[in-house]
Amino acid sequence: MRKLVLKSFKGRKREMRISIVMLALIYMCGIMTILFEESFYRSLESMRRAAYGEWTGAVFGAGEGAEQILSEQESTNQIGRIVMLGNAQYGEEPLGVMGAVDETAQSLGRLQTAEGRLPADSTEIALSETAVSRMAGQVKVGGKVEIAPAENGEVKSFALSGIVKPWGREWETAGYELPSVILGMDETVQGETYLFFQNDSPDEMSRIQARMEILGEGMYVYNEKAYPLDVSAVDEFFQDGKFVFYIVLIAAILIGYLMMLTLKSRRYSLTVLRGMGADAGEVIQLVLWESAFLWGMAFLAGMVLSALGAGAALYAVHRVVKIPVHLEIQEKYILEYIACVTAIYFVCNLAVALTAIGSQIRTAFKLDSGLLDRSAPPRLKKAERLTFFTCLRRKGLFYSKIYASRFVISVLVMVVSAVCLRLFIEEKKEYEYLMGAIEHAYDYQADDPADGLTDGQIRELEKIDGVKSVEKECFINSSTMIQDIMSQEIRICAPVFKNSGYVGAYRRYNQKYLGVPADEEGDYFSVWELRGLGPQDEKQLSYYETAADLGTFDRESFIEGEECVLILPPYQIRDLGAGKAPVYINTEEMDEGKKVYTYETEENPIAPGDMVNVSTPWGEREIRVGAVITSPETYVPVNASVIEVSEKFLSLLCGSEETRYTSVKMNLDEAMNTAGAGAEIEGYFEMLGKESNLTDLAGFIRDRAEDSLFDGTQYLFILTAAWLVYMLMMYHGNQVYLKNEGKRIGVFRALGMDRMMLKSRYLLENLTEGGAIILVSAAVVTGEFLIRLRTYGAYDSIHMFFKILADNPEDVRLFLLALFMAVTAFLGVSAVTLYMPLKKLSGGNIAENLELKNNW
Amino acid sequence: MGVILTAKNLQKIYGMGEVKVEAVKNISLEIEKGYFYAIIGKSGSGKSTLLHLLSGFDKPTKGTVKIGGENIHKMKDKRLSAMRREKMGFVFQSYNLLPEFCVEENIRMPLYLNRAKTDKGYIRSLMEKLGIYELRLKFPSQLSGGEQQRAAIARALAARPDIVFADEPTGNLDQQSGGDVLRLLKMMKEEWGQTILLVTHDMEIAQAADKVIEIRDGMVVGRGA
Repeated sequence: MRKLVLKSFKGRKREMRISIVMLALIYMCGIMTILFEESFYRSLESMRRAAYGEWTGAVFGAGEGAEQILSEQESTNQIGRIVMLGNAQYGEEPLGVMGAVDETAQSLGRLQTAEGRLPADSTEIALSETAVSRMAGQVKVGGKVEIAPAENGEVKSFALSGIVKPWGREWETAGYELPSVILGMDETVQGETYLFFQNDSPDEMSRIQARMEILGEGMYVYNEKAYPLDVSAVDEFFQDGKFVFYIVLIAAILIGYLMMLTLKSRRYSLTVLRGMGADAGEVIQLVLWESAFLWGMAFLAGMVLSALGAGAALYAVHRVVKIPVHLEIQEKYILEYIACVTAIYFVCNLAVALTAIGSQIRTAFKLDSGLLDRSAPPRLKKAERLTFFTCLRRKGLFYSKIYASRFVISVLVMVVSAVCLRLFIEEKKEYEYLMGAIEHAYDYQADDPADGLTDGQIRELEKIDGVKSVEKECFINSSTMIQDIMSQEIRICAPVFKNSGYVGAYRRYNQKYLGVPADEEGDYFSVWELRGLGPQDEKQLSYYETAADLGTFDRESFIEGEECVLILPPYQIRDLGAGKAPVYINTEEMDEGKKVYTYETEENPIAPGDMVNVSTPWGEREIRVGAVITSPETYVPVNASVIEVSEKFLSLLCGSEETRYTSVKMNLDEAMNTAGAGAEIEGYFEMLGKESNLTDLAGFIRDRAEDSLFDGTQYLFILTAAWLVYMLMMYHGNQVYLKNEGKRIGVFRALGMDRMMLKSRYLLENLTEGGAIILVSAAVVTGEFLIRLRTYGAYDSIHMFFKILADNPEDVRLFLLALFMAVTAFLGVSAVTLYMPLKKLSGGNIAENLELKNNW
Repeated sequence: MGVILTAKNLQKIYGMGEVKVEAVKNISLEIEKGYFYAIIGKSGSGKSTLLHLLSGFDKPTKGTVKIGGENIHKMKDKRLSAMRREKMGFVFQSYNLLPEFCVEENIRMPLYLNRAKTDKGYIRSLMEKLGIYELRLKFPSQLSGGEQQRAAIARALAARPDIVFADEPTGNLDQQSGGDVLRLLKMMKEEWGQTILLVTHDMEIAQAADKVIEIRDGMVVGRGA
């Protein structure tokens, strides 16, 4: 049987080659996906742990019970210990907390020395760089240092083994300072204990946490940044190996496709064998031998190719997104995939054998490529004049199945790749931008004007060591501070606004934008933000002095909250849908065909000296109009700037005795100990009870950068997968097509078509097909691009359209680049899988093309 | 009548390495213009290979084939293709009609490739004589084997070639259709004076030819009229 199989292979070399290549690619793509995804995840995990530490959890102020719970867990790998010994002093100078740190804690905390080494026992100490700076350079590594281990305690002499860099920020938690004076650990040290541990199973964390809470010992902190609990659906999908099911599903579809393509020829040969007297058992045996041989070859090739492919993909990721990557082999998933694919392959082959066994043996059983659509040939009134396009059209008509599938699949892949490529580049840029824009700063955004910081509190923040500057803003925003916007809009009311078309259009539009029922009869502007200006906003105050069209701007009255400035420029409303800026006042952009709303044309306009009422969810107050600006020099986002008031007015409006700043940004000095400053800021906000609205911008930006990196890699993965599957389908589909086409080439050559003509004909044919595919794909991608670009402004006129294009050159460049790359890849695949083989066939022997050879 | 085709010392070896088959062994022959030749021989005797070599479908391992005094195997592809369009016609056992064109379009295909003006009267009379005029707008898949073969013969004669090569043209047909095809080929020869070179293993068919060349084991073993 084995000999028969080998002989049969010799007669079906092309079919065998296609089957082996396709099966090998199925193994390769699947295993490569598993290797790549797993390696990518592990690399991200390593990155996270490098940034946030390898410890999974910490128990500050732990007792023996806590240590016992941790050591009972099977998944706990390491437990590190720090024994806290109180505040230390050098002379009168406080040095911070002193503590004995064991080797595991040193390693988990990535405690690094700037000089010397870490202490070996309790007779040696290492000092933090900050502590050394407080000692004014009076100590040297290797020398003796006199330290009081506790406030007002007895002074002891220690050998200074080294100077250490600051602890990783991830260790810090409110109220539990880490030691800046570090002793080596031995049995003699006693005190409050901090435990740091590493556990392989983050799932166990919730159980550990629950037990700790019951025990009521110390404070349990989970290192969520290194071991995020909040995983997205995509994360979960890839992390839990569910994706193996999906790639097996894709593999099953491809194996089914492979079987369908060779079904006719295999059923033919098997039925012939049955006709020759082979029984069912022998047919099954033959099929199994054949499948085993093909499987063996494909499997070996697939394994080698997948290792190489995954390596190349990871290297590409390393080069493109510049993250350290390492290969992670998840044997379980790989074995699952191999077992499933192998089983599917053999079951499908068995099914083919059973079909052949079940089919009736006929003497007129014919081998058929099955490509020709013969169901309904067209009815002709007369023979057509033969031209290139007649030939092309007829071919398209008779071979519509293969043309249509090639067309649809190609367009789909081109669109997916152009979009994914653009998204990948965008995410990559975002990642690079964010990583380059990490600012060491803290940001506070109050939920309510009453929660804003006072000048006194800001001064306290400015005093913190390491805080370089503090930026403050005073504003109220009903859309971010209030959940129920429907009944909480900010209204600027005046009786003269009652019949104003200008105010009415503006109000209705803003209300529509906010989803508030439009008020047709109102006498007010509807806005959602009021910003208070202070003496520090010199530039803006000076501008109002010069720009006032009606009345004069009195700086003093304005600052005191007695007067306001109204900004009422001409505007035109464009309905761009939700989420888009609705109003433009830039005269350049105005469409003359549409109504321009101008306050100056109002019959009864508001005048300086009139009163307006400002009504907000936090209070209501009248204010005199000091000046009106009806023609600002530059673009002003009207929806936020109908009225300008001072900080003091806002405070009075909200019933506060002093100004409260609702947005405060604390910039840290990178040259100093940002970790220490950060901890102090956090501590201060905790003391104020406002820590929940405080954001560490560096961590926040880093998290966003990681999200971009992850998303970008996913797009890259989809792109690679789409192209691999596409190449696979094109290669296989075109191989079958080429077999059919070879005969046509033979006929044409026998009729006298020379090679050059044949090649140029195929080139023209492929270019026509390729051109149509490119045109349709480009149209779809362009449509998507234009819809996306519309978020920047409506295409009200051709002028606006080109202006939006000109204003967003980066988007246009990215769109063109992505399209160009997708087109290039498509042309490459088409050339390799279709045009080159056609060219080769055209140059071949006519007898071979017509399959006449060996017909002696 | 002059000589239209001359073959000298033709040899064709198939296969690579150790397994080699000498399909044609040192064959020399001359084909005279205006005659109906039948090359006969058993299956595997090398007759089809000889026809492929004589028509330029395949290259000989050794030897020359001259048509109109020119060695077709030394010709550039462009020249040989032009010669196929203008001077040669082919009829195959499996018809090889292009499935997406109707009968008339298939017949006109050689003229389209030759960029020659279609002589509508000639094409019509060709179809009428071959009994396929009524079928001219049908597609190959709508025809029987005999009808397809008649269309293939019409296509072979469309460009009024000097010589028609026919490889087992009746091989796929029943006796009646086979006989019809043979009669048509003969009629065409009488009418338009073409040289016909037909390969067959059937002695009965060979009897219809003016001259017979018998091939055995790749060698010419007999010639007769």
